Amino acid sequence: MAQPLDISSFPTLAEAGFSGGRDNFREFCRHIFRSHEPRFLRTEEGQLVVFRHADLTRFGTAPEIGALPIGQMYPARFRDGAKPEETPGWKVGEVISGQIFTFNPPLHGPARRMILNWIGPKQVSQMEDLARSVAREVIGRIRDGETIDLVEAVSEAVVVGFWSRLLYLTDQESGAIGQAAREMTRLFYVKRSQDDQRELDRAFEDYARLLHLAAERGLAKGDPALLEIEAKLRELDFSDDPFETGIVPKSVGSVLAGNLVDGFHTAALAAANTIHTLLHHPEALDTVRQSPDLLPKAITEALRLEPPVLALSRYVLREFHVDDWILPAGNKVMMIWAAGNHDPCVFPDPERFVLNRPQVGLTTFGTGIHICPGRHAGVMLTRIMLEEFLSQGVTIEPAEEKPEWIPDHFMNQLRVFPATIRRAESQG
Amino acid sequence: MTTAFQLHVVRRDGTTRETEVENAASLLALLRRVGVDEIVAMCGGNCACATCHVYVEADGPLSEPEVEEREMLETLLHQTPASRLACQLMVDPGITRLKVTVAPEE
Repeated sequence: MAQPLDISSFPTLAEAGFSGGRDNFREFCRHIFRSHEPRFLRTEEGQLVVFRHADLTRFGTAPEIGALPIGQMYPARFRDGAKPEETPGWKVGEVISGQIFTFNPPLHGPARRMILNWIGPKQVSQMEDLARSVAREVIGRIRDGETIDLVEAVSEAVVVGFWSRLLYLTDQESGAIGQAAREMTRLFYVKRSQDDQRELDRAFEDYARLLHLAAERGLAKGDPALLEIEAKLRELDFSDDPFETGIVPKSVGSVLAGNLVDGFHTAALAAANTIHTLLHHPEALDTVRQSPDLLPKAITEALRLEPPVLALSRYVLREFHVDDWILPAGNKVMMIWAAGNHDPCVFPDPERFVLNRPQVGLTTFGTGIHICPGRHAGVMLTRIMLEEFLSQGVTIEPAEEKPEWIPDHFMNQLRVFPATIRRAESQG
Repeated sequence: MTTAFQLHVVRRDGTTRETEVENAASLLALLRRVGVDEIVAMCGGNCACATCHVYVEADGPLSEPEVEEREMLETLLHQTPASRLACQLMVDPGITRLKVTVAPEE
C-alpha cells in the first residue's frame, strides 16, 4: 500500500555537495551520479529535489505536477492587507504574475498558445532579419585585436538590442532595460539578501515601466502581433487565482513584461554559454566553420553541456503517486533540470561535447506542458550571433583573464567572459 | 481489439522503413516502438512543443485534430495540410496503410 513520501529522510542539497553555480554543479553531478542512491534530495526547507533524468521526465510530464503559482512564490504579496511599500518582492511578484510559468490549467493552455502565436517557430523565423541586423551591428563594432567581455559586449548587447528594436524602444530605453536585466541575476541567487530583494524590486519596476511603454507604442502603431495578443487576452475568461490557476494579465504590457524576463535575461546566458562551449571545443568550432549546416546541432549539444537554467521549482497540484509513495498536494518540488542533461544513464560521458550525440531526452528547456516556449527565439538569437561571427571572419581567442561563472546561483551563468577578437582580413 | 497495419516511415535524411505494426496509444508511441528516435518529443507527448511534427498520408480517414493540436500546428514554419503532431494522433482501426514523413526541424 502506498505511503506518504518521507522527504525528511533524504539528504539535503548541501549534504550532497550542491551550493549552486556552474563549477559546483559540475562537481555535484560527478559525485551524485556515481551511484543510484539517493533517489531524491531535499532542501533545508523540506522541498523535494528531483535530479535524476527518469524522475525529471516523470515529474515534468505529470499533470499532477504544475507550475509554481505566483501566490506560492510570493505569498506575502497576496495576504490580506499587504502593502507594496511594506512587502519585499512586491514589484517582482507583480511582473512575474504575468508569466505563463506561473499558470496552470485551465488558464495555462490558452495563454501559452497566445505566446506561441507571437514567438513560435513560424513567427521567430520572420524575426531573423532583425536579429541579423542587430548582431551585424554589435559584432561589427568590435575592432581587430580588441579584448572584450563577450557577455556584455555581444550576448547581452544582441539579445537586449533585438527585443528593444522589436518593441519600439529607443537606444536609451534599451540601455535601461539591459541594466535591469543584469540586476535580474540576483533573482536566482541561492540565498538572497534584503539588499538583493530591494535592488530586484527596483529593477523590475524599471523593466516593467519600459515594457508597458513598448506595448502602448506598439499598439498605437498597429503592430499586428501586439494587436493579436490584445485580442487573445480578451478571450481569456478566467477568474484570478494566485494560488493555483494564475492571474490573467490585464494588459499587453503585462504579457510582455512577464514573459520577456527570460527573453532579456536568460536568452543572453544561452548565447554566452554556447559561445564559451564552442570556444573550448575548437574541433567542433572548426567543423561548424566548414559545415555551417551543423550549427543547430552544435548549439543543441552546447546547451546540453551548459544549459542556462540549473534549477527551477514546480508545484504539486494534486496528490502524486511515484512508485510506492504518495507526494501530497501543496508541496514544492525543485527540479534540477540541468542534471538531466548530465545524467550518464541517458547521456554517457556527459561532460564530453559530442556533435552527433542523440538528442532525445534533453532537459535544457524543461519538459511537459511547461516546457519553455521562448526557446525558439533564444536558440535563433544564438545561431544568428554565431553565423555573424563566421560571416565576418571573426575568430574568438581566449584572453589572459579567465571567464568567471557566478557561484551560489540557480543559473549556469557567466559573470564575465573575456575574449580577444581577431578579424580575418587583418590576419596575415 | 488490436489491429495491424503497414507503417511506412520516411526519415529526415530520406531513408525509409516499412513494417507491419499493431496499433498503439498514439502514433508517437508507435514511432518510438519501431525506433524512430529523431522525433525528440521534448514535452513528453503533451501537445506543448510540436517536436513530434509529422506529415501523414493514410488509406482511410484519420480523426481530425483537436483545437489544441491545430493551434500548435499553426505556429510551425513547415506546416502543410498533411501535418499532424504524432503525440496527438491515434490511428483509427480502419486504417491498413499509413505513410509518416518526419517533418523538418523547426
